[in-house]
Amino acid sequence: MHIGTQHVSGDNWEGYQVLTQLGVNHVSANPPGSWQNWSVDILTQFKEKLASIGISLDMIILPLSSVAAKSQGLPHIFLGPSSERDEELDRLCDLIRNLSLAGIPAGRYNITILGHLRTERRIGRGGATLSSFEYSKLDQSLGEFEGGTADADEMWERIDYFLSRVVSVAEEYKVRLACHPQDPGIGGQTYRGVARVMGMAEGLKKFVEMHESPYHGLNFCIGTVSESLGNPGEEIYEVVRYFGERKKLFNIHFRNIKGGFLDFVEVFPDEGDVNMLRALRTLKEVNYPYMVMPDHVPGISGEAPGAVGFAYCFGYIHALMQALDEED
Amino acid sequence: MKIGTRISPDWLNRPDDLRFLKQIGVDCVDITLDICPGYSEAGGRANRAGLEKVVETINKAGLKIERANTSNRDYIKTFLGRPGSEQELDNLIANTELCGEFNLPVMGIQCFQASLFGHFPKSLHSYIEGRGKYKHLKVDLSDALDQPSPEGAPTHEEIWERTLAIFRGVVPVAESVGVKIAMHGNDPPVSSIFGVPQILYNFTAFDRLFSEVPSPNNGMTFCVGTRYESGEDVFEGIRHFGEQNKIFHVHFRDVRGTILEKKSYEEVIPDSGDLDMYQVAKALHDVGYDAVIDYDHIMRLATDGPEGREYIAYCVGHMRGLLQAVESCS
Repeated sequence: MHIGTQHVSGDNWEGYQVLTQLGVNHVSANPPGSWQNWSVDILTQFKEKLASIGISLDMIILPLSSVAAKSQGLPHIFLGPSSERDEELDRLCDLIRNLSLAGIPAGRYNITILGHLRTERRIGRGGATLSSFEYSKLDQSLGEFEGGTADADEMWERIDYFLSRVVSVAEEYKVRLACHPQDPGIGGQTYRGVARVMGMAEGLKKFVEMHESPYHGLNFCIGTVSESLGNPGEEIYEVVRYFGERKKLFNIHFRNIKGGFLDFVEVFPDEGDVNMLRALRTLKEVNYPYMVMPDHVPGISGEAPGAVGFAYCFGYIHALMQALDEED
Repeated sequence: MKIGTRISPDWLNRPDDLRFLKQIGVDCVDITLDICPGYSEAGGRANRAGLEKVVETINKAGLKIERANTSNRDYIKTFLGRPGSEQELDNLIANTELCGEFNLPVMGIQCFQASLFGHFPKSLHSYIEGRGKYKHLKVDLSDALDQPSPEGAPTHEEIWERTLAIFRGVVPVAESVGVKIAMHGNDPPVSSIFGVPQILYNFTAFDRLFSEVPSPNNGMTFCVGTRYESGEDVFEGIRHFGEQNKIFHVHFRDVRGTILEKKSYEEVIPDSGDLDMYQVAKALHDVGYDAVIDYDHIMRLATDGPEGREYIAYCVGHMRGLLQAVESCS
């Protein structure tokens, strides 16, 4: 396994250079411009240009990001049967083929309708602002989702349809599809009439068994999965092991939280409830071979807070990886 | 162990930049006393109000001062045997007392550096490109060693006498006010540069300093980088001085190459040098060291500002990861 990142993308070449300076040589990044123009040529040129400065393009994010469906590049894929859904799935399959032909081995994506859910930010160490979630403070006045409600059965049906279309293409073209859990899971409840079946570990277990394939797996976010556990500091490692042993981990978001199910804050990796060294050791024990990357970072003061926060995480991950090497 | 960083003096006027240190988990900061209002004007003597202002600003950001450093320019007359040494010693004693009054754990006293005698005929420094083309310092001593002493330069023994005079004056005061005096030693760690002698360049010299002025308050800033540059065994040094409780502060810096082998070395990003910094952290832990480690010098990254916030964050993250790993193994 190796350190990676997703926070530099497009034509931010100065940003990529800093990555190489900080010993980060693997990325999930997207070519500049709209995904609709990502021809094999554009993808290939982007990959080669990164390679020329010592960066391996291990992954891109497909036009199914973590935001609400209506803001997605492909907004209809998880909204139930429609001709738009089928057209979008065709385009997604075309993109998977293009990735393969450009030599990009993986794409990450989200299955989400409402996007990430968060409530008011809280204050952390030194006044850092922390992305937070408290279920009881979730805005319940919004009513049912205007695109139609979907209970758990309905969601699984839509997911099944999605997988039935894309997994065989991914397998044929040998492109790993890495799905990010829903952030956060809220158990068996719905929010605005929509179930979040991909937010809980049990849901993820079911997910990887559907249309089972070595090219169908997870962008496993340690933060998000911890958010679904009652006591993540004790429980997360076995969840990591479960998916790791089954070779379903295609990318790791290396993020920590305080709290757990229905009430948590995102914190710096060193100060949360999860022992990140133990999490990384578990990944090593299951011979996880891909990227380990910081995900979000707390809001810090001063200039370039994002770059500073990620630099902190790179140093931290480097140190833990070195410490693990020394354990051998 | 705790994590320390240096601060940029103007951060005292920009609380956001001090707070960012606390946010990324820094525990302590290192200051030079010349950031205290009135210090330089008084010829290297801190006053109560000036230090109080600095201490308050730093405490307000949730941080603590671990080490207050003095500059060897503050006692240059003493080193060079010029009139005015009594005043310099008096200033140092006053600074020590003041550090005690504010409960600052460590005060740094610097040694005589060859550069204090005058400009070198040729710069030792150049900046070369490292990983991803970041610029880092290379120090090349190949022309500077084994040169005849220039006229008027102090001898090794003179520097020893003058250094010991400072320590004999300050250390008893430090003991009485509960401040530890930390000697960093020469950087670069060599016995002379272009013929100008230096004395504190190896373990033997530190041993001499500690035996000539024996005190539990007389110890060192163990600069991992400098000690490695010298060619001596860093791990042996940590054991040797750590077991005697002589390590009061640590500069946690990585280097490529030693003077012993190449007459040159490069200061590099901490995960990329010759030293295994995990083992360094472990050695410090094993010897019971529990004060501060500080990454020391700043490297310039492509998108970073002159104060090096991204680089600082990287190093703090790196140190925190190593410390958590080392501490979880015990």
